Amino acid sequence: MFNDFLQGSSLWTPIWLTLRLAALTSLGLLIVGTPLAWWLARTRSRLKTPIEAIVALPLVLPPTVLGFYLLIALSPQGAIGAPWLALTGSTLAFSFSGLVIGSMLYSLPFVVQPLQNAFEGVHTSLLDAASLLGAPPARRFFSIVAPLSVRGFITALTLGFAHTVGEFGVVLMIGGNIPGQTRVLSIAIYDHVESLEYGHANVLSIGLLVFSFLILSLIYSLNRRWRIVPTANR
Amino acid sequence: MTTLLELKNIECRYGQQVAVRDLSMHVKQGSLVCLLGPSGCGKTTVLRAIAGFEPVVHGEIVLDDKIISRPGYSLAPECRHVGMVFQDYALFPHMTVEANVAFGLRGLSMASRRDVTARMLEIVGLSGLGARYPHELSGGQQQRVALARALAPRPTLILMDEPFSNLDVDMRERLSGEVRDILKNQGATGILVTHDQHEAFALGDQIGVMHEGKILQWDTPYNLYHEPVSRFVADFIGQGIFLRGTLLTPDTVQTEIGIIKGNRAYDWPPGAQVDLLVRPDDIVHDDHAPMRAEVIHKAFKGAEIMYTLRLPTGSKVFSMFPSHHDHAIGEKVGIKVEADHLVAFRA
Repeated sequence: MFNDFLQGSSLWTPIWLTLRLAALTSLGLLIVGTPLAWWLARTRSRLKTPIEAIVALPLVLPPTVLGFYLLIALSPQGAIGAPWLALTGSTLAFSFSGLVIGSMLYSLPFVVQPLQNAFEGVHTSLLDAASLLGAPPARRFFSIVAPLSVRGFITALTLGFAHTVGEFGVVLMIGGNIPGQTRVLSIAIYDHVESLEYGHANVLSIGLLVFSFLILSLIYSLNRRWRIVPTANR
Repeated sequence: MTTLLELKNIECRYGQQVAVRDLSMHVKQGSLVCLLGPSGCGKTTVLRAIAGFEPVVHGEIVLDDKIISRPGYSLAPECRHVGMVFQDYALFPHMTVEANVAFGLRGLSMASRRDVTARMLEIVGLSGLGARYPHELSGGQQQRVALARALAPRPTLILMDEPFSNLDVDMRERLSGEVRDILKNQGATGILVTHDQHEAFALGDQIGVMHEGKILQWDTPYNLYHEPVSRFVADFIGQGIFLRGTLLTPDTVQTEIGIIKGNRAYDWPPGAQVDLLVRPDDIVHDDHAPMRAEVIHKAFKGAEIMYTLRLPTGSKVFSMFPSHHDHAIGEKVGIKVEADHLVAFRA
């Protein structure tokens, strides 16, 4: 019976679903988070502080609070759910797409903050120099800012991915427990424990534990040792 | 020579604070000028306004007969064809020296980019270092790379923001002379901003002395030193002290060191109280002179010694003696006045 579990879909479907969710979430956050982090790093606007606070909210809010409001927004009558329903004909709440949206909000600070830190470390005079040498904004970003922020990008992507893998509360609130749709690893573990299948829960939990440990070790070793940019003259 | 750059009554602000007020200046094609002033006088703001990093709230900037800045409009820096050498050099740390210099050379073929880069490195004396990274170079070498990078696209105008301030004194003097030669050979038009008058003297054909957002005097180094138009310029440029005196005739002043006659006339009434500028080179050592002064401080400068002397009346003056005139502190020495430039301000 345990061997059936190790080979069966009840083990591999949640793993595959979780990896897909984490990959899509990190990719989406890279697209949304990069301009946001860039703006936060450079702006002198009064909106900077409130926006920074909003971005950091998922760090302190219980996932249930975030999940509760997301559930309302994603419902077929909600601010996001209704137009989505009209556009695609499907509902967002208790769907994989809904989970991606929820995870992106939940993991936002884990992507935006490392990127913002990296961008803030790029001296303004480098950008000024590049613009006087004829580089328009896009070239300034891709040839100066991006290469100097590689470590920030790697940290952001890894943390965003890992944090999404470890998500539980938000999924429980807005995703439920639909196999292949919203039954991610953390939910599957919870489910196994509820059904007193401790062996199954143990396999998945050890997997997550090792994965998380490896990811964090990777980030710390990157931050300590790997220097794409020599820092001697900065 | 035609006027290349003109600033017409520009004003720049940071929030409510006025950094530059009603400032006008002309820069002729092929000339090198300096904006000299203490920190916070607005000189860097002027440079940043010319580069397009700061907007003007009043007036306009005209480069090559084209308005590049006026209130509500600012041509993007990347479209100005202006080069700049930054105080921290701003070399791209992830690129080699070669890639740094070639950064501004877009729209050229690979071969001609390589040629121009090689030639620029040769001009600044860094041939063979093209494959290095900026952090592998000394401060002076980084400075040269910054200059080569700024000059490579042949900018209409080159701006330099305290370019030598991170170098030690020896290097600063050598490099400022070299940079002047390079710029002159290239026929470049340049504006240097500095708080260091020696740097300004070494580089600039013309110097504008700035204070509180305004240019107080726009002149040659010689005239700034010998004919300052205001008390601030007199004080800021060179060394010197003011002695109180009384105007006898339009060009003579009675002071505690005697009657001094100068080369220009003031239209103040005789008897007016004036402050007379006395430079170290106005007071010379003369053992036979009746006027004696006490040495209270001395600074050895190599070829000369700068003495601070106390006059019998208690006033202090500076004097530069040849180096072998070595006097102890407390000793009385004979001095006489040899001033033909009379610079006085109404007390």
